[in-house]
Amino acid sequence: MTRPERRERWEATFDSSRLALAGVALSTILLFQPSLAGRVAMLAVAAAVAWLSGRRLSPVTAIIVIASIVCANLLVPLGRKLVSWGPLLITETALFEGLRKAVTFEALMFISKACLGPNLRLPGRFGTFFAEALRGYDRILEHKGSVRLATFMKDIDEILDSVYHGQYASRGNRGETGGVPWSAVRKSDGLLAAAIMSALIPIIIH
Amino acid sequence: MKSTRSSARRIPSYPDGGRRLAAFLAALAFFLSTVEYMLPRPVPFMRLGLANLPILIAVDLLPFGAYMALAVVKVVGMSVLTGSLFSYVALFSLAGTLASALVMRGLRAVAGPRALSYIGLCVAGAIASNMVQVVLARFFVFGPSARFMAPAFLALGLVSGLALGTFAEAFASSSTWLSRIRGSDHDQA
Repeated sequence: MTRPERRERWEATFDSSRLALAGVALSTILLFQPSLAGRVAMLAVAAAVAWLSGRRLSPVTAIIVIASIVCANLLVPLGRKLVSWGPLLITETALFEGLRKAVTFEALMFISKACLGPNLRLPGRFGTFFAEALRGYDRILEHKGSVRLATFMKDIDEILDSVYHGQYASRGNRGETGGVPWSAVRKSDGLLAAAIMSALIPIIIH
Repeated sequence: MKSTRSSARRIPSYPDGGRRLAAFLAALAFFLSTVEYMLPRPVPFMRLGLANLPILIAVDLLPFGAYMALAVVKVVGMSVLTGSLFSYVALFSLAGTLASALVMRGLRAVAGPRALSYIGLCVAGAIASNMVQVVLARFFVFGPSARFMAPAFLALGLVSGLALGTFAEAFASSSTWLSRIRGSDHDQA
């Protein structure tokens, strides 16, 4: 199954608002995970789920980010000495702090990737404003093929002029559709609830 | 062309409080973010920050409420589109954008367009943004080692601020769209 196919299946399976709420819950639970092992487990599952969601992922970037955060934390020695190579000193507290921060950083990113999509509509006045911005974005995107690096500024200006003073301006404030009504309960909601309950287990046991 | 840049700071007033223009500028920020994603980067992780151009231009165009709404929607929208809303990246982006927006707005309140160009505004905004992000990085990601990264990070902010400010200056002086907005929105007021 190709990535766009996975994406399509994912979006058809889950209600975007409930998926986003599950993302909020899982992110919060991750931040309260007491052990590094719990966070690593959540990172592994979140990475697998983000892949299933069909989002574009870069394992190389993720590894570089994790390594950078761990290395940066090792720069200031903290705790019991574990190993030393010449001037480089690896200390226990600095290593675990670095790993905890790096794993949390990437796990939050994967949870976000899996639980968020452009279909998400936010409620209230802010949601209306946001939806209006997304409509403008869609209209500008229709012209993206006409942007050339050599004439970048002129091309952007022409697009903005035609979209804002043309079609977009004539729409005015029509279509005040910030939020979307909740859809009926789906089987996939059970999966989201199960994911949240599973993530809570280490916290409850602790 | 009726320009706010030729006189002392004067924000146009709008029948809708600037909401429609703010939403369009947010759309422009999403678009520029998409464009920047496709451009090659001179240094890995270094971004020019093209998506901040609408906020820079909006300093002279939008009332304070719509201006801050633009800053928040820009961050939330880009975080939703890139799927990073629940991550530290979004937190860093929100703090940096708000700091930058407030500093630029504050500077514009004390120095009009004749005294302070987009380049000066943008450099100040970029440095404010990066300083706030270094402080957050100290607590959330890098720990005490953040101080080793601060000089390089602030230098990158200076370079990207200069580059974006120069771009904004050139864009503002040549843009037909912007001159029409300034003209038509003054007329609406």
